[in-house]
Amino acid sequence: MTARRGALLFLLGAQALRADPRDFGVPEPHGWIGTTSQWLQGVGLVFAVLNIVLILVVWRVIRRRGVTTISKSLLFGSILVLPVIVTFLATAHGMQESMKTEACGACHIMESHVADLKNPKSDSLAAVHYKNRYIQENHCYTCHSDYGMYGTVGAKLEGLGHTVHNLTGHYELPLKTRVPYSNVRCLSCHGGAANFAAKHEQDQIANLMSGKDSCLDCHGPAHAPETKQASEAGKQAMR
Amino acid sequence: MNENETITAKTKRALRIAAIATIVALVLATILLIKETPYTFVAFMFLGPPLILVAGVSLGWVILQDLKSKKVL
Repeated sequence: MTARRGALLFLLGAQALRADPRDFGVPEPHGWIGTTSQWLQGVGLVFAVLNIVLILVVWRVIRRRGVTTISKSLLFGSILVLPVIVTFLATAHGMQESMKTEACGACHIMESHVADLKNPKSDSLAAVHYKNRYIQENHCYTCHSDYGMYGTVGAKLEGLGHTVHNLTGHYELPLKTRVPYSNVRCLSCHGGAANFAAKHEQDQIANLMSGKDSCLDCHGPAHAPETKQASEAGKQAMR
Repeated sequence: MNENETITAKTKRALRIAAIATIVALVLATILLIKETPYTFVAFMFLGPPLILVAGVSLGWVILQDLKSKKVL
């Protein structure tokens, strides 16, 4: 009986790990028509396919009938106007999607980190934030980027560096952050929270704000070292 | 306006470059829109806009030559 209840709780917990509220029964808001990213993706795909077809059709017309006024107009539209729209939509979609945990987990080297993150049995800081939905989406990105516009740009540049390192194999295991983890990333959410103020002394808060002490000194490890058991539990939770 | 103009070899080459560059950029965009991974994103971000720029410059050159041949410029 206890085992059955445990399994049920585990399944419910695993179900709750999914990022999208609709996945575990939360109804869609009134008038739901999809997310911005889904619209960018859909409209972008339609424009991209139409653009390719248009270029092929115009090219065929030019080969058969030579350059006409209509073919010139269509060439202008299909080479100078539509591709700019598609580039904008694809870039916006790419920027949105690259913040998702799946994008970080797409590299083999990150699979163990994502497995730990999604492991309901893990007590690492990342897993605690994930299973309690302290962060609702873009889990890796939220904790690994500073707030503000420069934070976004910096995170994208870091991501580019990671992709290059992963492609060329220029990295060392175990993975470590290039620079010490900044308290600002924790404090941008926790700073000013009632329970944060209640659980920390004033001098502690001052030291954390100034960066003299690290949040991870007491609340680490951020990611649990990968074990086969953790990896399997994480994979089960993802199914 | 003179319909069915014949095009020179240079113009045809420039148009072909513009068309191929645009199609390659659009294919990269389509792949990114279907499946976003760090690789598809980086490939599109580094190759897509330069290819579209090359296409734009090629077509711009064709337009310029066309206007010059008609003594508009």
